[in-house]
Amino acid sequence: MITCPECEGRVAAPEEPRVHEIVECAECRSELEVVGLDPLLVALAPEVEEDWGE
Amino acid sequence: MNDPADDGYAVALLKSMLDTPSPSYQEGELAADLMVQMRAMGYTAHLDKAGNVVGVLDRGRGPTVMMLGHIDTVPGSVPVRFEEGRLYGRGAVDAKGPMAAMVCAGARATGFCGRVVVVGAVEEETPGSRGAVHIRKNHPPPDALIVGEPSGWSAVVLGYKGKLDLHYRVERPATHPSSPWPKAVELAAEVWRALLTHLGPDTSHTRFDRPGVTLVSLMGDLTRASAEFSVRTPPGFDGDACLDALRRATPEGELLVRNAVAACRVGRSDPVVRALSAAIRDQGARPTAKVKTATSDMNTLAEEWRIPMATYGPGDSTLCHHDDEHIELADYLAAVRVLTGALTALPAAESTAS
Repeated sequence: MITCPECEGRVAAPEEPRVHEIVECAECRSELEVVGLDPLLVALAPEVEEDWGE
Repeated sequence: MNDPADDGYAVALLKSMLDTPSPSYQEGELAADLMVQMRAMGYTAHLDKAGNVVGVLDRGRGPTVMMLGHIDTVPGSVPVRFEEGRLYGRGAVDAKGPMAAMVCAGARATGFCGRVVVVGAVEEETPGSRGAVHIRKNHPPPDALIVGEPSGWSAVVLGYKGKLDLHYRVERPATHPSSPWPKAVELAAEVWRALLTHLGPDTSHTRFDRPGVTLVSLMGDLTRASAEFSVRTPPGFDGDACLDALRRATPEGELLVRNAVAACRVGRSDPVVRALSAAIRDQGARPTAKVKTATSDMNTLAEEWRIPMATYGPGDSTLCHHDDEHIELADYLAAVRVLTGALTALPAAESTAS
């Protein structure tokens, strides 16, 4: 388990975590990005970019 | 020559597609050529009744994954040429680059278990999106869908705004300009004003969560007038309420819906998004998630297909429809590898999500 940096809720760690993988906090729905593997670290994921065009 | 694992072949395929002009409604020659190329790569390929080219690779038991791009372009010629690692040509990014990448990736993904369906759709650049509509009506929903548009090789598009295209026309009896009765062109202007009022002060063509609005045309005089409006709509936009508001504000004249398609958006945990993101990471890049303020065939298919989906493809979308349209060959080849990896990973990603 890892701790959500937004709400401090407990988040299930991915089975095979990879850097830049996105996981979601089930309690506050924040999107978290894996930023370190040993130890496993997550941070709030970057915002989804808004882009013009097709 | 027909070895899809060969980068030289992937580049030659894209160049041959650029060498064959295919503006909307004139895709026939390219569709036939692509069908032949796909057959040479091992696909079972045919042209459907809409003129779409459809290629299938059956690789045993497993999910059906569809990759759908479009083979039409906007009009205009961009001389096809290689320059400093770039390939120039009309459609290089919108969307022959993404289309060719999908064709090559399907053939390369020999580790994928299931059915790969690659569609080159016609008429995406027209209001009706007839090719994608035909697929939606006549093809069973696949288990997963990748739409081919230029997201950039290290980015995944999660969704697009929708669109509501309106046409207004009105006629009024001839009258003196100083008469107190509203003139036709004034009524058309009034509909535009009512539309702005209904949408509120925060309209934006750069924000995904706000409607954007364009006055496309306004023509008229005292007795006759017409106007066209285009609203780019965010998720949850109530098109019927918008039409009701406009008709209440201006009961005279006729307000028609020319084209309407809803916004679409998936989450980052969508299995297709995860598979593409993982494949981007495997190429050493940090995947970016985007939403777009225009529309694509993803909107058309998402209206009825509730399946995992995302849009992906190489190319800089600011070059779409541009006189300088070109694609970086390194980005194109990276996208072929990303799509190949994502296809191979998709069955696992789907089962993890379910």
